[in-house]
Amino acid sequence: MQIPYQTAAAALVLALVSMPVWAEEPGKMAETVGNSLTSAPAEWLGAQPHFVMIGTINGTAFNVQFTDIAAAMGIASFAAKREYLVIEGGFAYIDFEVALEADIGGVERTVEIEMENENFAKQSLPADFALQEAEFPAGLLSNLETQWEWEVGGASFNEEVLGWTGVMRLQSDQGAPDDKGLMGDGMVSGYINAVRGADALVISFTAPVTEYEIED
Amino acid sequence: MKLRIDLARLRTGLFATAVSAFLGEAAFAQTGAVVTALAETEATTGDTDDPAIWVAPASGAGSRIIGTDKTFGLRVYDLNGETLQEFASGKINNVDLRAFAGTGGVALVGASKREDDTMVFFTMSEAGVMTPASPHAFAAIPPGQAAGIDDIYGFAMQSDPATGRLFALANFKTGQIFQWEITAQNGQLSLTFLRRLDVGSQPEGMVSDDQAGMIYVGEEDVGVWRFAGDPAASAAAFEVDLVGSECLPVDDVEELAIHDDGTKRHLVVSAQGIDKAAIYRLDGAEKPVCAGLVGIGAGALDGVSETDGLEVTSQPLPGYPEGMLVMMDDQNEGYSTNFKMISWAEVRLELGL
Repeated sequence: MQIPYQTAAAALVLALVSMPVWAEEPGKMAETVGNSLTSAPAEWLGAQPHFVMIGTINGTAFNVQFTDIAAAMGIASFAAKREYLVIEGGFAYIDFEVALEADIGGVERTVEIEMENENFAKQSLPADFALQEAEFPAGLLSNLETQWEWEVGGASFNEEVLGWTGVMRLQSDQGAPDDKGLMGDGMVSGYINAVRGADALVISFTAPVTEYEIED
Repeated sequence: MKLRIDLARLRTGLFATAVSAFLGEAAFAQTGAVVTALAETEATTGDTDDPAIWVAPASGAGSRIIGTDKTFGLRVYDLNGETLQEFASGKINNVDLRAFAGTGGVALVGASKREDDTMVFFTMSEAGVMTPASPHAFAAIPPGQAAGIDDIYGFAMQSDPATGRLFALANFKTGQIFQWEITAQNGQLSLTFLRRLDVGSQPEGMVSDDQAGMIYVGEEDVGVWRFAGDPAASAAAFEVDLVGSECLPVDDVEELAIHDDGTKRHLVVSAQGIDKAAIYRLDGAEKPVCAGLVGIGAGALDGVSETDGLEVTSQPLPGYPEGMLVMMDDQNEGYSTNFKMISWAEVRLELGL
């Protein structure tokens, strides 16, 4: 039996369209579906919980646009965590991370960003923190670590990247202090415009805080 | 920065052609052997790390896998991977065990607990039921030694076949390892501090080669060291292997284990940077020799694509005639982690051990 070439071509097109992105390049980050932004945002996208990451990390392109977490499909979790360091007389708020677990392009993926400062609680917000490499820098400085991971066909793709420069605007960071004065709830939000060699990355986030950790 | 791609798995996998095309064939050099898991434990969305294997004396089928979850505590699994017991003990990092009758059971299970720098202990009954020992927790930092020491991390147990003495080893992120002697009277545990060992930076994985009287310690970013196990011996460290070698091409060094079938003995090291187990021959040579790397590929179960702790036993178990390798797997469906069970016979055949 001969199959008309038009039918064969249509079947091929259908197969390619239905093929997950990772089938072509398993290490490539797929784009989120229904992206509304045609370019990286120029400022923080507002108080509605969201996570937008547009740019490249080590040459890998990211176009993650969850502009409304509540309405987005495929998100398994989206949460932030604060980390406090025990210091004389109390605690220093030294770190926060925002983690997204979502099905993007048919693959369960985890994307995280983490920021450090000697004590974020010392600053009045909003405030701009210059990004640099040192850990837990004092004043209006921070570092940025980006992480991602996913698994395709038994293979793991993951990377942790430091060394960004640029700026992080910590827009808001609020919660209800517990009896130690530490906050394991509320929201943290901000806007990051970072560069690292040939990479440029813009991130806007407003994330619910679900826990804190004490580093002693 | 780490970029970890299981190239060996990819090469034999469904998408090898496409991947080769964009990564290049040269990327597939030095892959090591690949085996598959026969079973896996129930997955958790927590953060599993280190397993221990308890071999039931009466019947191998009643054996247990004990696994840490750094967000929860400990779980006890059967050989099908089903959860039998859970202990919400806190941030339990590493676990190990030895045969011990002093608390009324047949084995003592110990673990490091991160939030309060303690060691916690459990009694394993002959029926494979774990219960907290009494006392359950002990401070891991000896009195008067707290200066400069921070954050308990790794844990191992050690026994001396000649004397029957039992020891606990707890290490700290600041590089210290404390050796404690464990005794029991009327079912009550007691710990006595014996000596301190040191490595230059953060350790974690440790294993006691009881037969040889040696303690192996993994220094995460550096390599593997060996110390004499006798508490009266020198605290000098002997270099076993350094990161950058054939078996440890990149850091981190994670958990360590010993496989001893009575004729051939091997040191097994979790090479986290490449998510494989590095196997060294312990054949009497002063310096263990790298015998190869083994990764866990996808088969009936998904592979070990990102790993942490591991454990081995040489005791035959149902379906595992030459013993079992258990490895932590960080990526599973539903953003979960678990432990994979691998037949040592397959590892031996693939690596020609």
